[in-house]
Amino acid sequence: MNSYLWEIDTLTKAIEKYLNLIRKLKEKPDVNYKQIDNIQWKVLDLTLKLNEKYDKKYREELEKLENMDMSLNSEQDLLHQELFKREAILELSRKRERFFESLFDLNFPEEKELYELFDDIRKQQTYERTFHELDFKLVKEQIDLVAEKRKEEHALNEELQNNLETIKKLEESIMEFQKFNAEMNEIFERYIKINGIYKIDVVAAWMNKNTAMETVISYYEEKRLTGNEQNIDDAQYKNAMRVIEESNELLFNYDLAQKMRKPVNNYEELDKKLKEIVEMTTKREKEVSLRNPNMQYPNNISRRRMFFMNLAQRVEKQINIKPTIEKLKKRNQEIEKKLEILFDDVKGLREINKIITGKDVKPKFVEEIELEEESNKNNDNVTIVEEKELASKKDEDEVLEVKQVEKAKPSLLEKLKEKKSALINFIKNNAAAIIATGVLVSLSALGSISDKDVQLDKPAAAVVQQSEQKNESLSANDLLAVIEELEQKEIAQTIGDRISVNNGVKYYTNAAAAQLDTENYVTGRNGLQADKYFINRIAIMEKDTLGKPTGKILAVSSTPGVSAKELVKTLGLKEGQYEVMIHIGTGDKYGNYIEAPINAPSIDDRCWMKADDPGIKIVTPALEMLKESGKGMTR
Amino acid sequence: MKININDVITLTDNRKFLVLAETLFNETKYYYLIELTEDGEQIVDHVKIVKELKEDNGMKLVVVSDPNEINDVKDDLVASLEKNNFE
Repeated sequence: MNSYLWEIDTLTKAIEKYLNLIRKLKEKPDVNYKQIDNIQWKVLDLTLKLNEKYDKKYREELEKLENMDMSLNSEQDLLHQELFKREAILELSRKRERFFESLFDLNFPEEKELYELFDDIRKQQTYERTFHELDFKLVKEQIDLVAEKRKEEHALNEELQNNLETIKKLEESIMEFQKFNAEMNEIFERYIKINGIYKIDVVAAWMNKNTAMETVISYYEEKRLTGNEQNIDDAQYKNAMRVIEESNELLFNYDLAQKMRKPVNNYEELDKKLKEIVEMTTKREKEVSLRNPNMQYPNNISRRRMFFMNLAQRVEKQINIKPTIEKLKKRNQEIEKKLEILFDDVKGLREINKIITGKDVKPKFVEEIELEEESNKNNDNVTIVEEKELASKKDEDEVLEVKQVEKAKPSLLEKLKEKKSALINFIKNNAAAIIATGVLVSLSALGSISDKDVQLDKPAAAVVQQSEQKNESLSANDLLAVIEELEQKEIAQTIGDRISVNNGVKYYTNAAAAQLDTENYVTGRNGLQADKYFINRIAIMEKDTLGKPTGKILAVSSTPGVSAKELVKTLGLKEGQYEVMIHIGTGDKYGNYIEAPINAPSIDDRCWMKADDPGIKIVTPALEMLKESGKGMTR
Repeated sequence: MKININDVITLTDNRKFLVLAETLFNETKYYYLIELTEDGEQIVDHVKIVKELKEDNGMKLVVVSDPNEINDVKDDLVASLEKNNFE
């Protein structure tokens, strides 16, 4: 980068010097055009070199800007950063475009000539600048559009909130018709009382009006007959007119009260009643105002009209509450829909970049969000799978398909007589253990575990642990028994160990099957019976780095007296890297257990077992056996 | 195929069980079984509580694994076993 700058600087200065030289040569009286032409060629060559260097510098700066770190964490921030980037790129391309203009003074024909020689290059630069300008405009348009949309969003949100508040207020102001009507009736009654309408003698009012009407009629008749106004009693006429007016008012009020007291059953009927009252009062007001053109406003009659109009509006408001709420809710739904798609027209950074660069690159923060979502999705999947597995395990009740039912032999029943009490105690005390230990349990193994010891919601391992913890309160005899049991649990893994194999111990055709627990047979159920046997072979099996069995045999020995420990030591294995499988045979006390007799289990080669099977116990260690027989490996 | 106390049941996989006790609960038969060797001569000290499921073409025994269900039938099975003289 620095070398470019230095070269650009040097080349620019050199061009400037040559151009100055041309100017000086031109000032001379005898201009040497050949010399000028030569210098022009030099300038052309230098300018091409300068352009090349400048172009490299430009491309480097452009790349730097294009790869600008966009580590901000929102689309809006990124758009602003993108705009800044595009602006910088545009400025860079403008500067480059102006480069030739600043280099040559177009007032000099020689320099103009040179300038024009770079026309194609300049056109290309102009095109590139235009291209960057469009990019800049695209980003700016989006930002402006976002700003515009934000305003719209704000207005819509405000409207939405206002509508919600109005809906809340309206819902609070909804009154049951019975309650509202009772309030109205109270208002009407108060009005009747305050205005003394209840005291109106309607018959007297009618009579007074009729009498006054007669007086007025007489007055007009006399006026018509005499034609002389001077003889007529004006005072009597005026009094009659006043009586008529007062009677009219009383009769109107009486009718009004009748209307007010008319019973209604719902808002619609109440609305109709009040509208009729408003119509009555308006009509009455008009009549009075026609007769009294100079009437002042407001007056009692206009106030009465207003009073009933207000009441009518209250009723109308109640009627309109529900439709208004519905309307507002509908409007809010429209707003929500609008908000949802409001920014759909705006191009995000990813879309912009796709337009500008033609590459679909996800912004960093989008990638992070997607990764997080993916990880959550995977975790959910794991949970679902685990739950499914658990559910299927739970649902998998063992089904026994019955082939045949027959009577038991008396000899068998005789054996069961001896076990009857144990069987009763077992089901009484250990029913829960039947499930906790996987339904199928050994009587001897669970003889001492009671329901209290076994918690159904705990795994069998936890149950066993609890059982072990209970040893704290054991008696001396119990303790001895426990010690004895623990001693017996010593794993048999020396060739020549005499062992007892209980029923239920799994046995296999080969050591690999034994390690991987495939193709198994069960003592007591298949050919092999529970009895005492000898270990006649030992196989050391491999475990992988995760401690999982691989089924690979690392070593096998059939030498009497050799223990698995010694074999492992020879192989340089550590705890967890191996597993011991044993092969058993009948043999005899003289150590003839390697070549087992005919019909002995080892003949069919199906007598491989896991050395640590709990159903296998050492009866006599190999060393003692070998001592007795005098055979075996010399140590 | 009817199952009674002291019957030996042979399964399709040749496993053998002896019926120690039985009870009827919610119209379903429950049995307390003990496993035998393949030849049916020896006891294998493994026990199961099963219930009978009648099907069109035979019968199935389902191992009971619900602790509540076991508790429901346990006492009746004990009573049935107490009455069994293995004769």
